[in-house]
Amino acid sequence: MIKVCRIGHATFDTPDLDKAVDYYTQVLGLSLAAREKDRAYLATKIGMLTIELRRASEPRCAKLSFEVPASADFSDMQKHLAGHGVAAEIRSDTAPGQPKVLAFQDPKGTDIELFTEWSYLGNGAQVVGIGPLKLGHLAFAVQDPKQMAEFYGKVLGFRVSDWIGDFFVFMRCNADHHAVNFIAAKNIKMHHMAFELRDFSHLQNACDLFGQRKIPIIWGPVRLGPGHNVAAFHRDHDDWVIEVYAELDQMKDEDLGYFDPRPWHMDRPQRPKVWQADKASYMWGPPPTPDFFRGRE
Amino acid sequence: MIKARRIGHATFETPDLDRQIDYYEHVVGFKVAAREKDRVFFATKTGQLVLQLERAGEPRCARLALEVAQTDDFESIVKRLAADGIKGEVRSDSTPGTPKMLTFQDNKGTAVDLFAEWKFLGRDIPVDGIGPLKLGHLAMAVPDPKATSDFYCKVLGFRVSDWIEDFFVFLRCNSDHHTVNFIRGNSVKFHHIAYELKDFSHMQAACEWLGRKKIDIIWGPGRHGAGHNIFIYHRNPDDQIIEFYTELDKMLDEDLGYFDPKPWHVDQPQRPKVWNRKSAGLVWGPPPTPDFMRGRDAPPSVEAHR
Repeated sequence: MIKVCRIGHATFDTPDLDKAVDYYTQVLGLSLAAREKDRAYLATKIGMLTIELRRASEPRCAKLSFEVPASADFSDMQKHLAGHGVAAEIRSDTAPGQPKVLAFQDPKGTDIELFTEWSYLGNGAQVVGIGPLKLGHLAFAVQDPKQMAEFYGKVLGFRVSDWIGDFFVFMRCNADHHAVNFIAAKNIKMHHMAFELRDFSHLQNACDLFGQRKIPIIWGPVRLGPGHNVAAFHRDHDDWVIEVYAELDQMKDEDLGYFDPRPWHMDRPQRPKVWQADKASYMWGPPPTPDFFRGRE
Repeated sequence: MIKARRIGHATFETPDLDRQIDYYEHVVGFKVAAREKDRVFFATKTGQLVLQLERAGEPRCARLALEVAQTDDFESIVKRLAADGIKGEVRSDSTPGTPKMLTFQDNKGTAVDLFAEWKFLGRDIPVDGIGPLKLGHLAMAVPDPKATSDFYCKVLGFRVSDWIEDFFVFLRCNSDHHTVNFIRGNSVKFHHIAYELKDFSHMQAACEWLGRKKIDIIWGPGRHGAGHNIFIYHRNPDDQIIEFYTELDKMLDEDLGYFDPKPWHVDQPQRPKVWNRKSAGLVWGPPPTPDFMRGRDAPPSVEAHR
């Protein structure tokens, strides 16, 4: 059994590396931890590796890394994966501060790397822009969200936090309501990526920055339904939908089985459930703009 | 010239007094300070008189109270009004804490009550709901905003803070960017009333409360261009638009002539100006929902643009 404990960093292919670095360092507010000719690594102001950028012809989310317990044995995990028909190999020095990873592909073709050892990058680097605390979650459009939920559940130890109908599943690997989510669509494509902010005031600072940079907010500020996070969405340099959020539901104790009670919960207590599609999307705030749905099926 | 210093309270007529009382007590978060059979007065949690409701056939904004300095004596104000061809009348109508008011009609038919003396109606008042700090501004649709702007400037000492093209004017009587504003419409009609919240966290609490009460936010959260306030709008049970706002521009010194500089300002410094309709509505935030625009006969307005 593999038990993923934390989402590490995401790897994006981009046709314009300079533009991507500019977005992440000037708007989102990450620090440039390492830069090569065709590659860049970005860390949060706390010093955790968050984004890897690679020069390529088409924008694509290519890889996700997850932390597993320090006690996890790489050959045991390799065997466990082989038992599910997944070929995995041990690689060295694939990213700064990560000496060893176990690499394989998930069913939708995203490269996955599991790691135990990692180091902080930079030393209290000052950032400009939004300055999120961490990478929170990655959502993918997939043909069969049920199949993805089963893979992430059975193979990687994720738990289902919520479904919307039978087409959108939210999965957690720690107290955070979701670290990955999967929505049904015809084609596999990254749906959005989310970064955690400190609180609602930090979200206001982010909105003020979007105003100054004339970056349209394509949805929000809203309080969402599943996960109950307050959030605002925009589009980045490669037209990806990026969410910044705060106050995501927390499953503090798996045995208790309910999310830490909050005044904005509709259920008492709020447990994992299937939301009705028409009531799920948000508790308050504006509806999504057409630009939020652009490029979606 | 008369110099209005502060907006006091607004008076609304309503066909369903109990429903409105329930809304103002449990959603907005005012406290009933005095209740008569067909009339009710509300105070903010700070203890200031903020709103008067009167039972009547149709919802209507009927009166607006403005504070003048205690050094202004009512007799000379009556004379100055008379010189402008306006009939002012001193009256005492048992408004709580306000013994004497000088009443006249503005050029659009709203009764204006000037008052100098007033008392707090309580202190540390516990309130339910959102609990705004104060009444901030009252916006009306009028056929000729320039004429109404001229009236408020010449007769009451207001200053123009901003125009949006030639159809929407924002007027101040103290450091707040606007206390009254006038948008062009086919007839004289209430547009919205705005109550000030403490900060963006208070705004979040307001959003949570509206969500809990299943009252739609019809525009916002966002930051306006003109005035640069953070805002949300919703409709009350009489279908009137209510705004909550914070971080409104402040003209701290009239002689300096610019609004206290803020990072979200478009101009450096931000001075009173004429905005175009595309830039005035939003620095950031969602577009207004159709429910915000409902019932308007204003010209193709600023709100339709991002």
